[in-house]
Amino acid sequence: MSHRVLVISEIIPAEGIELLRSSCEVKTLSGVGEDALIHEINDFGADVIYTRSERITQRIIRSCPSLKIIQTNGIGVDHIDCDAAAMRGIAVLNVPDVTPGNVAEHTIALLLALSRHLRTVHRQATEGGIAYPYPASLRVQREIEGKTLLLAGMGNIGCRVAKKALALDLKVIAYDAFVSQEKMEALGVIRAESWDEALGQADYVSLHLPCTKETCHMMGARQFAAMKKDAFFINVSRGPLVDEAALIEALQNDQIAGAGLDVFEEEPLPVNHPLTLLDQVILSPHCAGTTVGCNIKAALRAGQSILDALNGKNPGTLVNGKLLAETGLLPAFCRGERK
Amino acid sequence: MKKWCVVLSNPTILPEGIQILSQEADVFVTQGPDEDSIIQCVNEHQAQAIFVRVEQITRRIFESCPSLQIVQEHGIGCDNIDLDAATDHGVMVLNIPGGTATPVSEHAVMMIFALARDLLRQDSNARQGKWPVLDKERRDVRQVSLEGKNLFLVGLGNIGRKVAHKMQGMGMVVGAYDQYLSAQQMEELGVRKIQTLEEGLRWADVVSIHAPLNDETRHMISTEQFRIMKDSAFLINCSRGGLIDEAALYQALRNQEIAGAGIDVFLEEPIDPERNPLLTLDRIVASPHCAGASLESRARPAIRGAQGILAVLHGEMPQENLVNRAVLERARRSVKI
Repeated sequence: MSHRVLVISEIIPAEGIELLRSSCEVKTLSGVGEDALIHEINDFGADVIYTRSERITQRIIRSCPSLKIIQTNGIGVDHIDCDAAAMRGIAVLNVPDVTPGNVAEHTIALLLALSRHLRTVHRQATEGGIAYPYPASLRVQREIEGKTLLLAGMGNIGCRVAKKALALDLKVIAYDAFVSQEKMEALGVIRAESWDEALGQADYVSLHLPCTKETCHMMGARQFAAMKKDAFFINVSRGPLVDEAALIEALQNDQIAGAGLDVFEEEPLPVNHPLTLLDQVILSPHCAGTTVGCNIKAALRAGQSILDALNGKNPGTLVNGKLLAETGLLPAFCRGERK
Repeated sequence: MKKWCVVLSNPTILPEGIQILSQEADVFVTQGPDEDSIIQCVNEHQAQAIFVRVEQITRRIFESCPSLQIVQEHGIGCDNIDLDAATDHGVMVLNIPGGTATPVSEHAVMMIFALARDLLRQDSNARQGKWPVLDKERRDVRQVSLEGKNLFLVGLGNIGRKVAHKMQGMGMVVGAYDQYLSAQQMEELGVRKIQTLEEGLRWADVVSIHAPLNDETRHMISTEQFRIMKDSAFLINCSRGGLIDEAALYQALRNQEIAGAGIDVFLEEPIDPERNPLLTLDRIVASPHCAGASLESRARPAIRGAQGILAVLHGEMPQENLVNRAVLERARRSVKI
């Protein structure tokens, strides 16, 4: 009997689904609630669920004994209960290598656009009303060379941002408990020992971390108060890393100079959300990882991971390996050599 | 009365510069930016120097102002000054080389990234609660990666070099067209020398112009040049408006012969959006000639210009800030060599 894959996001491109169909039975559905999803998984006898941002809860995991693999379509797995999956010996797979370059470029784009007041100058050019001499407001554009960027997280994305930032002649400080002094030095980055202390030195602060219990709301009222008044804040990782109400207050009270945000507590942003009314922020609709054609690349990569895992090959994309090893339920394919 | 007299043809030159001048010279501001006002003011005070911004310094001014020895430009570009006339009348034209290289290069790099990441349109999408990433067909996705793509710089002076350095670090392959630099000089900067403008335009994913405006460079990018560029290419101009044929750029963007443009300088400035159809296009990132502006560089040209004027008045030989070298043959002011 061939393996069964249930795709529960409607925006997975056909190329990925065709790849799976070559050797699996595939069913696609979308927009179902928790109960209906449990029913569908059990009814279909799914070995694999393939999700984008749809939540895979502990209850779903415990109620569906046929599940062996949960595949997500991007890097972040905060919508999946990885602990519960590990308890059941279920492997959680992601797509780690398609989007980091794009996310790093988006981060740099936001940093540049904030410094050069992109929205304001574009509006002044296209709406007119600018007469020589230019009003003083234009002169608040900032030079970047010689300023300091503070990064939280030096994973795949953080390292790429650091490298690009160094090319802009920024000084880069990074906070990451899991990356050694030596590795940071090799990258030309200064290691911060304390996040709160480093915040006060930075002209730019950018987050590149997964959202977990420990990192949720790592930026709150106290942290924004510790930042310089003329500093910019950037978040292209996950909305809940930031206490959004505190950020809005910091922006409204000019405690910080501006923000570049790709992710939010609630997405899509509701109409008239306070962030959408601020002039000193640059927003984007959770598209930092996106480029033309990258969704097809990601779907093909995800499809291949699923096929490898089902065929006993290590796809190299296992997210909850440590948890699985702790529970002693590491699937056979994970012990094999990485593809 | 002080030993010297300096005339400002623009009232916006900042007090930080005027303060330096005032230590040794009387400083006067012209009634207006026009030829007659400048001539009247220089002659009334028998001024040795004019500190100019964008005002036209014509042959008639040089002919009518025998006291004039120095014209100090407030930035790099001297296309507003009749250099031949200055040389003919023994007047030194000074500029401020490299003074705005940092903000201009950062502005150009910002425009490249803003186009590649489609920032303005995505900002507007997000503000309207539109999440195009949730559209399965992704018809509305335009973002492209810059890594591994080709950047073609037209001109590799102070600004072009800074742009090259930054974009090499971003993973772009950088090539440049600059008659004044050899392949070996470019190689030392990690830049590939491109022999002709046409070759570079065919090769490039991003074209950024960092050249002065003169008779040779005027309209260097026009209909024919847009035709040979990739339809996915971006064009950046933070140098001078006349370098690009604006009507041809408008057509090229409308016909999708190129994918986008970042423009800080226009043929007619200040910009009148009603009269410039370029500004109605959604594949353009525009700014009102402010690439050189920054908080940090705000007073820099005023200070360095004031210092440049005083140094020459003291008889010092100007360095790389002398624009019309030929004037040394017949300068009204003798300098120590």
